[in-house]
Amino acid sequence: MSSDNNFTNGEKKTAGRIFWGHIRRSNREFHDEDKVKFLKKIPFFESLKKNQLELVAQVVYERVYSEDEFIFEIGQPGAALFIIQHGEVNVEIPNPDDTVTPLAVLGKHSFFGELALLDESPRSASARAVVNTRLLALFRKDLDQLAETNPDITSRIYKSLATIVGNRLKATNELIEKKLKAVA
Amino acid sequence: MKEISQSRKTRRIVVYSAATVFFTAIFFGIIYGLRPMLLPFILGAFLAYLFKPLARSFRGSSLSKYIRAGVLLYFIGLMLYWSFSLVKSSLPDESEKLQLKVRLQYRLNERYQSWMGLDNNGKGNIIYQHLGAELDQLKQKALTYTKLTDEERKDFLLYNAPSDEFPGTRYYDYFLINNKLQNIDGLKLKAAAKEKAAAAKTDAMVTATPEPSTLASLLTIFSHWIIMPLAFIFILLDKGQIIHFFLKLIPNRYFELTYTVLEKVDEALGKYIRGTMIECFLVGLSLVIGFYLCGFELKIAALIGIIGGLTNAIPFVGTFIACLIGVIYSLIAENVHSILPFINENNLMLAVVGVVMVAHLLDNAIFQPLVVGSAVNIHPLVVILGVFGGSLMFGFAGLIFAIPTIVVLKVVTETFFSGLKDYRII
Repeated sequence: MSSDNNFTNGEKKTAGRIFWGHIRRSNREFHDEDKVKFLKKIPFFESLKKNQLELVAQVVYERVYSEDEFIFEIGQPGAALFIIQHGEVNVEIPNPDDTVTPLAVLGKHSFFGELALLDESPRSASARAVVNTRLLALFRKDLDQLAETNPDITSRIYKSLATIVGNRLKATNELIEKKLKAVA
Repeated sequence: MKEISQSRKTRRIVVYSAATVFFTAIFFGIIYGLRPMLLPFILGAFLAYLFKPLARSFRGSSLSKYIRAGVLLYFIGLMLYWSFSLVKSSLPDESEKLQLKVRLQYRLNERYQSWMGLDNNGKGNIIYQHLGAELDQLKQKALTYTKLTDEERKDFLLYNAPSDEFPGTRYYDYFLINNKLQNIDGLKLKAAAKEKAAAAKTDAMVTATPEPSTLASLLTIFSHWIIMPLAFIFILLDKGQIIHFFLKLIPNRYFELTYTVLEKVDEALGKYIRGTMIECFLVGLSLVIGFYLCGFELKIAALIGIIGGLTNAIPFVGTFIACLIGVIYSLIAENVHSILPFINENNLMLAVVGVVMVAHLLDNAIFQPLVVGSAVNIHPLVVILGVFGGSLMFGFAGLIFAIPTIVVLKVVTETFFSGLKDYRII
């Protein structure tokens, strides 16, 4: 008597669906349509229309990083902004004694390395995958090329970037103010 | 745990190495099998690369991207067809080559006598009195290149000598004068030419050579060259899919670096190639206008302009080639009617040198700084060594492609190593 007889037809069908569905999912690329839906949730791109997001989705690169793998290291020239699709990333600064000072742990829908969209200045911190992580990378050069044909898209992205950088600057100023008051 | 990780690493290296060897072998096998299609593909890809910024600038147009690419391809094809037709129609056939040789020999003698002030007794001006022996030797050396062989003389007579039905060409008189100077017996030559003509007639009656099938040759050309417009359109319309595919194969550690290197190489090469093409076009145009003003036929001026413009991509050599062709043509030019009143047959050579110098100055002072800039600077010694080395190793193709190859290598090496340092890989 084979072990197949232990399952009902319905169970077999469900198992088949799960198995083939899993195979299809793992083989499937993260389609542009899915990317568009995903990008819409990122504050950077929320002001873009669907057709504009489709153009952005065409130029982003999908990368998968293993646990503990560096995405970039402090001091390297910045060329791309990274968005976390899945997983966790640790932003940290290495110390001379081989330890690291963690700055933030970023999760799904977060982004980092956004200043690379402005110029090639060196990265101010390192980014390391805490677990197996899938990222989307948007390069400055691709954004510049997009600006030639679709300036509306890039102006919206840069406006979002300016707002985000401004907010971070305000937060940093408040933090410094608090620290100074505490010291005084 | 460490052992498992180590063995996985070893397996990974083995798999990657085997895959690299396997795919490299397949890649070169395919390239070897498809070598007749290689040139059309490279040309299509090169043109697409050249015109990509132009295609990108057609934004906001209501026409489909395929129609836009097609229209662009049509105009490029038209320009190439026109240039090739002009060059092809301007190239002399067998009979014209002989006429050119005769004209050149006759004119060289005539100009030499006029410049040296030689009279019938062989006495010349002050230059000839001092340097006559050396200059005579130089002239004889130059004449050996234009001298006709016995077979060529017979052929020339067949095409140009007067007969009952044919009055003969004016170059026949030049031919007779050249023969007289070389002490060649004209009567014997005429008899030999008649014999050759009779033999040629009999041969033509006996063996009728079959014409190669035009349709078959057209089909062969079509099957190979169809790849060119396809490569052009798909590379022109590519929105980064090609680079996306290759970057997927790059390990994470080198991903950002590879992208940055590719981007910088693309920027520098694009600037160099597009700049050089515009520069060559402007130099070619200056030469055409200059030679036309000097009194050259428009067709000849355009031909020398195209050659001078194209070879201008090779520093120093291009100017020299344009000057050489212009000077040789000025030697055989007849009935020169220049728009500028002070240019005539006697000083045409000086005018040609002047035109080439002005074009060269314009190139150095305006065209080069404006359109190419100092993006890719190569030391003059490297240029000379590259040009000579390239021509020694690969002949004419080496002469043309030596400098662009050096530029590509220089940009790739510089960018790659600075990238490796910036990303702390070395």
